[in-house]
Amino acid sequence: MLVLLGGAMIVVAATGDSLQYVREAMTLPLILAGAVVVMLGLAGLRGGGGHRHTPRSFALVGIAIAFLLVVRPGPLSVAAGVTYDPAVQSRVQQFFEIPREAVVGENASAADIEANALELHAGQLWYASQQLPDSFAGVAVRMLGQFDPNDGDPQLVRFRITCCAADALRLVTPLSGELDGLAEGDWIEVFGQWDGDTTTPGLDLASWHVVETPDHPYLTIRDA
Amino acid sequence: MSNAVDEWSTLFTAMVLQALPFLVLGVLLSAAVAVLVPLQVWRWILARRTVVAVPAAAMCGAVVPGCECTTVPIAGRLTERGVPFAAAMSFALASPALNPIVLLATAAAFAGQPSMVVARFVASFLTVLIVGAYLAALGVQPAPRRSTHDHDAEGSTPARVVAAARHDFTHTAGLVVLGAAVAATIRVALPDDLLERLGGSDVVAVLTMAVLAVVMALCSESDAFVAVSFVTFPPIAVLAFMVVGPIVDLRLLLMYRSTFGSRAAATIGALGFVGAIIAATVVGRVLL
Repeated sequence: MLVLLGGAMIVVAATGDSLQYVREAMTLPLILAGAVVVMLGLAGLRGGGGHRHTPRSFALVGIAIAFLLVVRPGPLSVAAGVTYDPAVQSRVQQFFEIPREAVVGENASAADIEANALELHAGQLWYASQQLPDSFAGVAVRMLGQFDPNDGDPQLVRFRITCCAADALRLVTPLSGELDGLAEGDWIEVFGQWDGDTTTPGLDLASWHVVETPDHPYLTIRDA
Repeated sequence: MSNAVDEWSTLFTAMVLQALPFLVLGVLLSAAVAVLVPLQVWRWILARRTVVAVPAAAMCGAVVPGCECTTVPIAGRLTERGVPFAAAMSFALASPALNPIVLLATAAAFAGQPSMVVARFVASFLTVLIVGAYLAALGVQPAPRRSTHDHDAEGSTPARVVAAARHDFTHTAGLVVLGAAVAATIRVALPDDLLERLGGSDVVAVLTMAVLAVVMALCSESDAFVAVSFVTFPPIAVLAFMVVGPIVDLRLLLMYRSTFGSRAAATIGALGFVGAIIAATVVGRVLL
């Protein structure tokens, strides 16, 4: 069982599956710790015999192994019950520079916006709406996240984690524009411009595409 | 319903995966404590008068970055080596609650509110002292380990380290899994708008946040970032969340129980919970 558990830790970290649960900085510790657990297991097998009594609770480790190797749950989705005030965005505000080519003007075409868009997350959008409201109008923006129909007020959801998915903060960006044919939780890449709102800044959509679930589903403390 | 199951699976897996490397580190260190450091050293450092030992152990804990899963096995081995239980527990509680990484994370989460960092440090330190002093005064002792292993004393030094680490790991890993399962269940079962419904009076808010800290069972390194997001709660309740969490939560209670026995675990849990709420309330009134 120890060998299996250690093996599962190594596999999950090495394949990048672990990024759906914990931050990237944990990859190496997971592999090292997995190796130690394998070693402890092998030492136990070799030692053999004697009065080796594992407590009953240790059987629960089997459940963890099953989740890591067989169930392999996906990342948190928009339906997760993690509800926070939209003001959470102000906690992840982050400074950034607006490159000249991203300033496409307020009447730019969808193609223009898509070609020149600057990738931002909800914290940066919040920062810009507060600190740079004048220069931020007319900037082409690209954002990545999951679609949340939200009872007719569609929004883009992305989670920011500190250590693991259990401490996720939910960042939301209201979307205005036509969004037909999307299901709750679909990963989308959206292009557009700031809608002028300063309390919960959103995007006026120019275009959007459905994308695969990204390798790094969560923003981490380094991003936001 | 399937949403709830998905969310449960992700939260459960995440909590287990996050805890395992720290647990491994903890059992390696605790094995080193058990085998490598001669008994006399521990006696010399900590087995002095408890009045000195409790604050000294709390200070030691404050400078050693350890998280909950790491320090409980260490405290178990320290006690076994003759360090007074109250002092070993003070170390185990202080390390996750007070270490520099936790304070830096708190400062980052509460940027622009340095008083929150000071309040967290002072209130957590007070809590550790309260628990340590009461454990000493009540003369609480852990249940003797049913399995004081003969084979711990046999064989070469590396073999003894491995045997001790293996023993501690198999005795705690299942509990980490159980703690994660319970915490994930409660997280999924809590109604979404619970916070809004209860955010009214200060007393209710402090108690709610204290209970939330127990059931959410977050690592002390990350709890400040969650705490800061409870914007509808008064700062004093947010402080209570961060002071209670590293001292007593579901996962810790299970680990206390397996390491020290039910009676000692219940005492630590009760003292920690009440002590943390009192410390957070008093310090919060003064500093926030």
